[in-house]
Amino acid sequence: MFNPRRMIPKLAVAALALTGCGETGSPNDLGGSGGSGGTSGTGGSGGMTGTGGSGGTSGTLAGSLEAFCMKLVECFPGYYVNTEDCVSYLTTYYDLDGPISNECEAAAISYFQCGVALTCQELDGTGGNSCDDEFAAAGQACGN
Amino acid sequence: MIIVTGTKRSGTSMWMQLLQAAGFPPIGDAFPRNWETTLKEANPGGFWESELRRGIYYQTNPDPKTGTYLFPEQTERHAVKVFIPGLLKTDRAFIGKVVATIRPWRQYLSSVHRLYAIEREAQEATRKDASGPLPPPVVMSPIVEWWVENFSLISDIVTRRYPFYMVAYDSVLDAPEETLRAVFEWLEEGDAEAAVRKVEPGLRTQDRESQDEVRGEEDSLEPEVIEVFDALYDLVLKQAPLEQAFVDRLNQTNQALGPRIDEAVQAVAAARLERKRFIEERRNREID
Repeated sequence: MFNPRRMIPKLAVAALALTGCGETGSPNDLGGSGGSGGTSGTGGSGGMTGTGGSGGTSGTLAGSLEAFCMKLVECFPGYYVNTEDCVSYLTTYYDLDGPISNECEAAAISYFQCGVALTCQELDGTGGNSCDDEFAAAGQACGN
Repeated sequence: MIIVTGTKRSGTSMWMQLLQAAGFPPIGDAFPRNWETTLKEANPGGFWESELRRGIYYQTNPDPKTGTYLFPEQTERHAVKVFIPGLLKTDRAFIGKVVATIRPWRQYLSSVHRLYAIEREAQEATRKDASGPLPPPVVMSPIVEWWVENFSLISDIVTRRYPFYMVAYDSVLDAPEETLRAVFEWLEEGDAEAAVRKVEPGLRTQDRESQDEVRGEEDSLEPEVIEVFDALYDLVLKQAPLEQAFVDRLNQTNQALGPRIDEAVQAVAAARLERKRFIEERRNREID
């Protein structure tokens, strides 16, 4: 017996590419490295909620940031009101809502994607975690 | 597994042939037992179906007849055809990558009517020898089926976030090289050139002009619904990204079609029950 779906949930990324989208690793890795075959890509079609403004973040950056924030919200309930709140905070923290350098964008994506792959326990580790290098690189490249 | 999915008559068998030509081992038989006598005309290249078309989950794996269990790690390169309702039931561990093919809804209606006509003819032929005619096969209203299956597929993709590539049926036939190279590049393996050589536009048994017969069904749809049906296919054809605004339109359309969908689902359930009762009664008569 086929039970049709009643609704499509809200997209977790600004726009979902139909050409080779999806992650191959963790289910949370929304903005991961999938989509290498995409011809139209997901980028630049308007940015995500809360990061909009003048052009918003690029598709890959927005996707990885949102995925990272979903992870943070899941791991640290109550710290951020919700994913949008986290996105807004990190966008401001890393100055991602205006023009950014390629180095900053690449470093930020690298850090967010690295963070998404960590477990909550690893993220919570007081002695740092395996994304410390990416964190430092993002801070340096994005001027923090 | 590399899962090929879509509605009936949307090019899933064609994709199975292409993947096999590219070097992916297929799961399933190209030619089901009754293919030669019933369905050959509808799909000369074979259907490439297996029990797994109903999904890869506890009812189909282990194989209910042989007990053979397919392990996810042993079947990563295998291509298998799973219809959309089956994909929704498929365990996430078996979903490696999904190639989803979609056909324009008017073409789909026309094609599926043709398939049902072939099946009816075959059934009529076998009825002559049967002790009592079976009730007609249980099928959902094609127009509802096209919508609910494609809508459910998108919902499942967004929910479970597996890697997928949605490809328009016409793209493969109109621009095979470009389309197949992009898909195989995404798959990260497979002989794309071999697959391109396998594309046979001659296999497409209907052209865009032979769809007058579905005009009556088109009249049963509101213009705004038709607009969304067309826009959905167009999105895939142009390989444009799916944005939240369009998802909202899809949800609104699904809500508007809700009563028709419920009616179609209930009609199928009732017809299935009737068919089951009929078969049981006939079996009991034979025993007596």
